[in-house]
Amino acid sequence: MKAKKTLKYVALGAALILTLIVWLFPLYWIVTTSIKTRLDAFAYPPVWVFSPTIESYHETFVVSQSPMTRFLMNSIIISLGTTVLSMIVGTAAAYSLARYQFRAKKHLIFWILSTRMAPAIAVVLPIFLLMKRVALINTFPGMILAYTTFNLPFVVWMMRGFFGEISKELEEAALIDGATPWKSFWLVGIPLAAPGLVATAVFCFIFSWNEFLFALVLTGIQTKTLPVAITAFWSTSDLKWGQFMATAVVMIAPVLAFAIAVQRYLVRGITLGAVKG
Amino acid sequence: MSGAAGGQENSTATSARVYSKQRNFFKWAMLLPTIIILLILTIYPLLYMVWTSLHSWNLTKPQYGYKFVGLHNFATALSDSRFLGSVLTSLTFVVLAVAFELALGFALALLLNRARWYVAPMRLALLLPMMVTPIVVGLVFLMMFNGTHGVFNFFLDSLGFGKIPFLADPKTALLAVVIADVWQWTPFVMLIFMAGLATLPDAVLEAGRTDCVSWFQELWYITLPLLKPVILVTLLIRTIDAFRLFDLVYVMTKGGPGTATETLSMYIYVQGFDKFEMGYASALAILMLVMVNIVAQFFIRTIYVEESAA
Amino acid sequence: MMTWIRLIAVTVLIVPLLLVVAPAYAEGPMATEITIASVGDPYATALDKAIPEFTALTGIKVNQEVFDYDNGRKKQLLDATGGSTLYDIYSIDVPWVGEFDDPGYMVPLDDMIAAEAANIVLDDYPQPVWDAHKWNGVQYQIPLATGVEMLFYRKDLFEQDGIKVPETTQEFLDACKHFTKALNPDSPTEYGCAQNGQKGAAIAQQWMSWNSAFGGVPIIEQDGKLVANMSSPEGIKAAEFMKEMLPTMPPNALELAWDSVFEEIAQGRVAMAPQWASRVFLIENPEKSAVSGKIGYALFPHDEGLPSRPGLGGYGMGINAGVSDERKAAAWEFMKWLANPAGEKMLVKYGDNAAANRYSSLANCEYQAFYPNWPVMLESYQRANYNFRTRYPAYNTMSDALGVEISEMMLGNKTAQEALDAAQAVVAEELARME
Repeated sequence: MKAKKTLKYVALGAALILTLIVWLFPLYWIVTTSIKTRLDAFAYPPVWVFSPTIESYHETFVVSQSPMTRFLMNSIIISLGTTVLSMIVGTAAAYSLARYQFRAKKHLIFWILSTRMAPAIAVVLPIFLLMKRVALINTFPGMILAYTTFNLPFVVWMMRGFFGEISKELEEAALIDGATPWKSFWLVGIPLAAPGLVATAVFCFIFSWNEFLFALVLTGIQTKTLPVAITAFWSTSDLKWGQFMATAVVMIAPVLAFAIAVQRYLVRGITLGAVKG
Repeated sequence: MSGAAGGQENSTATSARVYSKQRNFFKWAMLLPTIIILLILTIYPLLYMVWTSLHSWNLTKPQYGYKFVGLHNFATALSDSRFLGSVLTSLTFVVLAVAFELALGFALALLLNRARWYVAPMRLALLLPMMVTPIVVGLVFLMMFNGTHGVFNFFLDSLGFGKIPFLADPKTALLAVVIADVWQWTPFVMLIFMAGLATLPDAVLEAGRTDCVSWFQELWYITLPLLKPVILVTLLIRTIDAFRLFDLVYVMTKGGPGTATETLSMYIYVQGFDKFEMGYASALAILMLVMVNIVAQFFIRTIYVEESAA
Repeated sequence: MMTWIRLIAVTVLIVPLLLVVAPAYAEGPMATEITIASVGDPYATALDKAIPEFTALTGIKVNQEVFDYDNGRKKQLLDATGGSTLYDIYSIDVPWVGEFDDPGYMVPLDDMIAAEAANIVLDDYPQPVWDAHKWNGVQYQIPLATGVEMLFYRKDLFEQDGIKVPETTQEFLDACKHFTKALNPDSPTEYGCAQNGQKGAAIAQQWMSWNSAFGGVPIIEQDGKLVANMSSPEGIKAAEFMKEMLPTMPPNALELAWDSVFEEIAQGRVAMAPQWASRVFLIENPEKSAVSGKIGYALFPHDEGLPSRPGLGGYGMGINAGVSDERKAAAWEFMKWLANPAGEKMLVKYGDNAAANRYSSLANCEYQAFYPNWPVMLESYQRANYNFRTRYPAYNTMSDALGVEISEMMLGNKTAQEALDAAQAVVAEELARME
């Protein structure tokens, strides 16, 4: 009996360790390659013990004239821009939807969900053509608007959920006391939904930061974002693995940090609240 | 002006009207910017794409003209073996990836469905792959799957299996992409199932346990049926997301070798942004939207069931 | 109350500010007088080094954006067809000439060239090199980085075995067979030759080279219309010839493309390989090749009874017709600064190993030291066929179609006739759209 139990524990332990290895190994690989010297990074058989160096980061971001820093700035500007725009416009709409009655609510909801389902390639085709017409390709406003296409519905959906959870009573009380609906929203609703606001904003930022296809099609050298820039490392036969990994680390570090901060809301955010996190 | 009583009533009625007017104004003012932006950014482009799909138009060859061809693009698509092949590839990918993700994710959720010290840190570690930029995932796996100096081949070689040119062999290339996707999204499935398992009513499970059922029977006859709504939601989300996958394919194989890993998204990209055949690409995109919509209908209905049940 | 107003005011100001400032940023710190689009060939690196001198001389700032081949064509085309005027100077590869010149995207240069004739010295250009960038009798581009196809062969092995350097296609095939161990146990090399075989642009181009060798023309003009002519007797001969050579090529023949073909001969595994002339630079470099000093150069082979007409390619500089007159003027300043004997000498100095567009460059002693194949280049330039890949706008479609069909033929899935017929049908459809 005891032997059976110990066997169970060992099996469990093994399974857990295997799981960790499988899911953390690539991340480990990225980080370690980014701190290897040029020779070590290329080496085959792979080098497991080595002396770390930050030369890859230096080459990629610090060396003068390196475009990668510019692309980092672009990513930041675009992700922040679309998050701000989507949050402002979307939260307002979400509040309205949560607190008031509308006749076409169902249609609105379907429309919002369908943008979550739509394949990026199908959305980017017409947007590319339209933006070309109005010369918005390779501009920041253009990119920010393009990203708002999918961020806005997401914000509306998420915030509607959050507002739905807050009890209306405090707001009702404010209204009875003579506050305008705006004040009730701004002074009561918003502060109560603050955690939801933060989580939603973080998600918006993460989605925009990681986005690839829109950036591939709609940016040029002036507005190129990190995901597009990083693919350039692969095209030449002269693989700069160290630099590529350094860029990868810089790309995923902020996202991972943010994600850890909002992990409570992760499931909800990705399933659009279909399953409570 | 007016008598005391009459004046009082009037002003209440007036302020009530003003009040509801105010609320009405507010409710629409808050919603309008969203509606306007979405009209411009989704409805208009969609209509434009439908219009474009009825034309033959190459963006880099304006001299060929912008010709109305009616449903010709759609007819061509249905007899285009490369298009049909890409749909098949996409479906194959979806079936493989989702099956693995559901199975593995569920297994992991079961493994971590207890109140132990290691659950929280493991959950944290496992949520990291989901948030990594898909492009980076693709590039790292591209590196690791490399036929001559990839890490995976290093292990295979050391164990005596010899090297496999994963991404150069049409038979294994799709599998390699599946593996990358499974790596990234299994934790997502796991998280959902963990949430689902956590909400299972203990009472039912307790009842099951006292009847001396084996863990497998408990799983099969009690847990799974209770989890049905969660399974459905996960299945549908992952199916749609796997079907529209683009980043991994683009960065790992670009649809190759040949067209072995050319998914529908990739093929539409080739038509639209490689050959710039906007009319044809638009038609293909519409066909894809129709396909996704059919699946999405189920999804939305399931959510509605959840919503009204909750 | 006041705090809320202030807060709202600040928010309301920031977002539009972002949107207003952003376009300025988008034009960005890289705002310059002119921008060049280049493909990532060595000339781009040479230009990079030359540009500061130009800026010092004229005060015009020059930006260069470098692309890979595919994107170079796409981005330039997209720029030309409207919506943006990002580039002032385009780099046009010879097969793209029709695509860019025919619809009028490029500025006709004849008048400007005439005005600078003394400086440019037209006679210094071999006729085919110059004409490659002419369309319908008008000059639209100036040759910048010309390339010509020729044969690289192991002269040490040919001498050793007493084999004549191949001139005709038949001699070439015989030499391939001689140097293949499986067919000739005494062969010093494993395989006779290496060529492009990879599905897509690589194998398509290889067929086009052989098609030209057999005298074929892929797209011809008949009664004022363009007709696809790949399935001609010459074309089929060329395709079958490629099939015949397969046993003399390495086992991974159908994966080889440009760089990997080079590797095969540079590492001594094959005795011959057709290459672009500029590769001489690499093959004579002991760091990059194991056979430096052992390579001989010959004209690209031709069919019996036909003259040798090696394929000509390479980039020309032209001016975007869609930009403002001020930008056009600045662009011309830059171009004429390079388009003279001294300018080319400078590019050679900066390591541009494809800068030989002129007789004077080829005659330059420094240059000849870099390019031991210069006599063959000279002869090749004079006989070159700049239409071997067709310059009509349907080039890309033709390349794609051939890339698939010729590959199928090499795999044994189709006969040469079937493959070429199929490719021809695709191109014919494209040409029909031009009406």
